[in-house]
Amino acid sequence: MTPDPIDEMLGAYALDALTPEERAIVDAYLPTSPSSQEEVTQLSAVADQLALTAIPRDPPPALRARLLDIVEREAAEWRSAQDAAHDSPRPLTGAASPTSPNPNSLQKSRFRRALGRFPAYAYGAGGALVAAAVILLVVLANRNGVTVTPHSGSAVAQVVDGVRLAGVHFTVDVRSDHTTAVHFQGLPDLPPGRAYELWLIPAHGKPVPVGGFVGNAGHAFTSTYTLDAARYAEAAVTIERAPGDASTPSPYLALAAKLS
Amino acid sequence: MRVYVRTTAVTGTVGEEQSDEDLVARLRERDAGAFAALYDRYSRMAFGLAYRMLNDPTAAEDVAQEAFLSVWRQAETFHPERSAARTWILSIVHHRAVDRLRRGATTQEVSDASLEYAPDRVDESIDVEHEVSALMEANEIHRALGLLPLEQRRAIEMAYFGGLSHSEIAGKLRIPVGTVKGRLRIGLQKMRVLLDKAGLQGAVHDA
Repeated sequence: MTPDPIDEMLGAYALDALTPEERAIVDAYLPTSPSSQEEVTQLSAVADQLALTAIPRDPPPALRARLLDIVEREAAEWRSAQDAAHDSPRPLTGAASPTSPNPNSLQKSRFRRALGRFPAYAYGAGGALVAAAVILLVVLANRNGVTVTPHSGSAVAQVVDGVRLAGVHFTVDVRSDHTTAVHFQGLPDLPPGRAYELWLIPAHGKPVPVGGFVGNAGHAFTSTYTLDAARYAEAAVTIERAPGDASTPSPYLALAAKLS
Repeated sequence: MRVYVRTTAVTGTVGEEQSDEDLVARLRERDAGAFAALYDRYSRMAFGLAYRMLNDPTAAEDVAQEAFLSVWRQAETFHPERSAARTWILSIVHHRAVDRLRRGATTQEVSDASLEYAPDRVDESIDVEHEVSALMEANEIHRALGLLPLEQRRAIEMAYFGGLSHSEIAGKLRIPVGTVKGRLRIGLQKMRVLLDKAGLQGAVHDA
């Protein structure tokens, strides 16, 4: 015979309306009474459904951005820890399998880690040359009354989608006239049907595609856009399939630069 | 020079429709895209529930944030054989809100859930399959709640939305604690029968 006082508490138990002491009593009792356990399961299911009677409301938009910022940062840290634990980097080419980690998270992780490896000495003489060129650009720009804030970028990975990127350098010039100039050097030729694509990534929110491009005969590309990159946190380049090509582009970032 | 623009975003989206359970499974691999998809699917319900309980937008935002971070960080605690992912997420929101109410961080005047629930007030431009499905279920739940005797419904609402213990409910209503226990239990039992008759199978899980 089930003790009546405890069964009487099952509704309150399902609604989480017991004191901790009473809850502990019911928790200890339930394993001894399958029928009471069954009732708790059923009543709890009903109680859970009450949540649906609240009117859905739009949360503040900033909440999504704030959460995603936290989540992406923790995902990057988790991947770093995973990589360190395995002591062997994941291959950067090839399509992700259905059970693979989401490439979006992976690329963001790699992006952030790559940014952390951006010291000037990383590319030796090439880096010094880029730095000198950047200083020269600043001087020249100031002569025209336009302030230019250059940001240097480089390869995130040695090879992406079969394209070797180790020698690529680029600068993103954020100009005070609210335009943005980009200069790429050492761009490898791409296989047919592919192109580079430049993205600007805000601190919160979705990346914005700026445009696609390919290198010229000198493996360079320069362009000026009528947009203000100062509003973005990062610039990145991916290798994309041309329109009409049904194959899946590599999910990985090729090049990246910090803008703030 | 070929110049073209891709319209898809690099991060924060999931390209194809996936079940809630699949998305939660992906959280275990720290998949931020899956998190974004779940957030987009249930943030309105979560915030609405927190707001309903706390009657304070700032507190509701705090609770929603805490709850979604719990979803992100404790995806391993989700057991699909025990409940639907939506139920799991909203139960986390509920527990967080109850915790806040019991800490006294927010005071709430418990209102009548039947007044709070008003499907016609929901923005019809929101074409979200999951939310529409939930609203259809909510309609049945609301109907079942409305069929309960007023005193049972009131006790259930005070417990669930007000986060009150049975003794606190007894104090507010000036009735014996035993009476409150009975109303909560019998009310839920009646609701279960009504929801079963309505064919709302999601209301009851297999043991």
